[in-house]
Amino acid sequence: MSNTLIKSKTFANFISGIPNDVSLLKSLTVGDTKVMNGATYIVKMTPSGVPDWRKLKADGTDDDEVDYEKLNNLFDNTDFPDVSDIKVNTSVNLGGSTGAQLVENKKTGEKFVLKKGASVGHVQEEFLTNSLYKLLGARVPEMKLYTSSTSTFILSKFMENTTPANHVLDDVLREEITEHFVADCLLANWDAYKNDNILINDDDGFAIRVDNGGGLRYSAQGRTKGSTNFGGNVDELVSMMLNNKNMTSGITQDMIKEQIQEIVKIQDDILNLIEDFDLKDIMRQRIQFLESKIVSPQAAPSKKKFVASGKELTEKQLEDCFHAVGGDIEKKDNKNGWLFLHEIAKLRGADDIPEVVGVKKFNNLIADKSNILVHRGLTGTSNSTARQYMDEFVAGECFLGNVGIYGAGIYGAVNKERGNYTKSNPAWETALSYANYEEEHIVDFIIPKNAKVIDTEKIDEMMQEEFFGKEFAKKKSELDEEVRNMYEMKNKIEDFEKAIETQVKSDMGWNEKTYDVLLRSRPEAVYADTDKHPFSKALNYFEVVTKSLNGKITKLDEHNFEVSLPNSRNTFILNSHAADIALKQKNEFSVPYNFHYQQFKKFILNNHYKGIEKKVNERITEEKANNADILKYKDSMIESDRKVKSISKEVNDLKTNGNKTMNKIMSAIASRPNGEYRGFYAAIKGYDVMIQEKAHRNSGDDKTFAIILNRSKLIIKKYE
Amino acid sequence: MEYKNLTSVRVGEISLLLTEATPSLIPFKGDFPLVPQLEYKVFLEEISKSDYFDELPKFLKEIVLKAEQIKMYDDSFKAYLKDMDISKKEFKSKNPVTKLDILYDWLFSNQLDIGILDL
Repeated sequence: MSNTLIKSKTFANFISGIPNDVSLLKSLTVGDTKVMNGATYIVKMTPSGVPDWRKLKADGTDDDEVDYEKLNNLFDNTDFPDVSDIKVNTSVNLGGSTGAQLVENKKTGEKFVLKKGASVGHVQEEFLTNSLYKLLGARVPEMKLYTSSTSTFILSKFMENTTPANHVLDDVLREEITEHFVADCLLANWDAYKNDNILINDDDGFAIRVDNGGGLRYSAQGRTKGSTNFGGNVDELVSMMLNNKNMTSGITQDMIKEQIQEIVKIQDDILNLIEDFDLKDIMRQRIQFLESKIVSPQAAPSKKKFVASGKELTEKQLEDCFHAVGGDIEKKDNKNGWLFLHEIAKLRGADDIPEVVGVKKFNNLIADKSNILVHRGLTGTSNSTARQYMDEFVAGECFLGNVGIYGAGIYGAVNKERGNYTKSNPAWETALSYANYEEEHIVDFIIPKNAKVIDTEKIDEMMQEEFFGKEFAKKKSELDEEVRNMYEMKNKIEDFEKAIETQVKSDMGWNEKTYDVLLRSRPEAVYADTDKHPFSKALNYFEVVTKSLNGKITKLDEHNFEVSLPNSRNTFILNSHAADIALKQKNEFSVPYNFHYQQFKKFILNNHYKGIEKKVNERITEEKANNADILKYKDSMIESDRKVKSISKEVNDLKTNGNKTMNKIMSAIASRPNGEYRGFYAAIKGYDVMIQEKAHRNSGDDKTFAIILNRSKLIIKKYE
Repeated sequence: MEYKNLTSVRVGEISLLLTEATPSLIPFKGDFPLVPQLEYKVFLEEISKSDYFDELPKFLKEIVLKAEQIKMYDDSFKAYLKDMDISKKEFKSKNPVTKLDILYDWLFSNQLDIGILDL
């Protein structure tokens, strides 16, 4: 019988007064709730040790007032002390954003953590956050909210043996913690993965979210986040991924989808825990937002629609677009990307959906060499899957990109070889890398011959001439040559240095793998306690490390082992007695380490690796000083630098004079030629596509990008 | 993920602040702009020579890494100001002492220190 059925059956029996089978009750989840006829029922652990349904106490409070008893009943806190039995341990400050205190039950000596938050509202919201976590299946400490007219605080069970998750993070732990990534996002617990907010209980190895004061409407320090920062959209799906790359690196779209499905299933229970109307409403919207992420889009209707292009925008039209983005031409959002470009696209109808055709028709179009074949590779993010991005590109909102070093717009790789859909084709390979090597996430499309297409070099020339005149273009060209020379010289010098570094490291036995292992594995922490990890085990590890560096470990006697390294006269004695008495710990919350092993690791790093690095630097300095080529490169660089400074001054003067005749919008665009703003300029002038030649030049293959400014012009090959 | 290591993607994320004389509200110490606007075209040509960020010459990587660091802290600081209901314009108009207080508040709330200003 499924859990849902068990819940329904046992609840129905409870309501009807029919005794439930114990085996069914044991399958219930403590904290599960149901609401019927305005009353809330909850699964609680009974004194007999079997879960059962209980009706929550009705205390006659207003609808707006939160019944914290309901939340308190989610936790195992029946043995928590009365207020009068709480004694503060003034010698220990547990830190945290709003100060947590270690306290004791006077009667039993049991320790607890007391938190008052920055305000009553703050601590109450923290308690609600913890309650929601509990409902969502994430581990939090057992706790209780104490409320009175004079004081409101949370008491939670103090865990003696813990390690901050960030100190011992590995793939297994990451997976466990991020099982509740979407819950963390839903609850807007921005600091969830920071500092020591997640601890590992050393007794059972599980991760516990201990400091959730920054959840829901409050920040960790008790400030209200405001409705713009905590609203109906769960933007945290993106922000928490970006701000916590170390923790979230293993999260996949499928994982997010599954987690959302689980949350949606219990949305009634979630909302029932929240009695504040505003918060309940926000949470309802947030769950709907999540749900929208797992709903598939409609298929694209076949539609032929070309919008007239080629006409430059009038000054009025340009101003309208400018004002629509509040004067900020770099403004972007998640829906449409570059908003200024989107305003221009809307004016032209360029944001309309493209035509979709079958394979046969598409291949006929490719055969006409005046049409341009393009491949666009897409990768999923925490917000959407690659497939969702593909569908959006073809039939959804017009997203015009939000990064684009060659120009603002939608990017694709131009296939000049037509029909060659293999890795040997640079365009196909480029699209494949943008699709993270998933072939099914590549969209093929045609830019038809009647589209207005321009090369980015030509756009640059047009911009220069329009903004600053022919003389500027000439001077700028001279400047570019000198800058190219400077880069070339820098590259030559770097190649020279690299060759020396490679040689010296090879001669002196630099082992990159061992270096990486030494830094990442932290043997001083792993083998810290010699009661748990005998000296012989650590010695084995150190032997492997030493041998990989062509060093030697010589046994002097039963307890002493001398370590020598090839590049140093110094030796280190690994001593078992020293290891036994070397266990240290900075404070009760930090990871214990073995001082003797730490010293040994430092010995290796200083006497082998640092020695090699020093030699590399010495050789580079020595050889550069006497090398005729290097001297030549340096002189050339200095000369180019001098010319660049001088020509820059002339160019800037010409630029300033040119600026005087432009309106403020074109002036803003003129301030950043050669980059993203090219897209704005080309769109204003009426172009549908820009072509960037010589983009990505690895292994001698020149790759070409198409930068789409008018989506409605495209002809898409239908995909499954 | 290889996609994230593509030069165009990585540089694209920070390109807008490369040529800024004041790339951030945070008063970082260093030589700015990281790439003078007049040199940006050639900079783009140079980075286009490598598909992947790891393949770039060291001196170009250093520029991008600095920009990424600036962006990371700047985004965090802007989010902090939003949380405090202070707009960018309001912050800029405050006196230096108040600005410094706000900066310290942000630093400490992120367990950072003034040393991060040295790039």
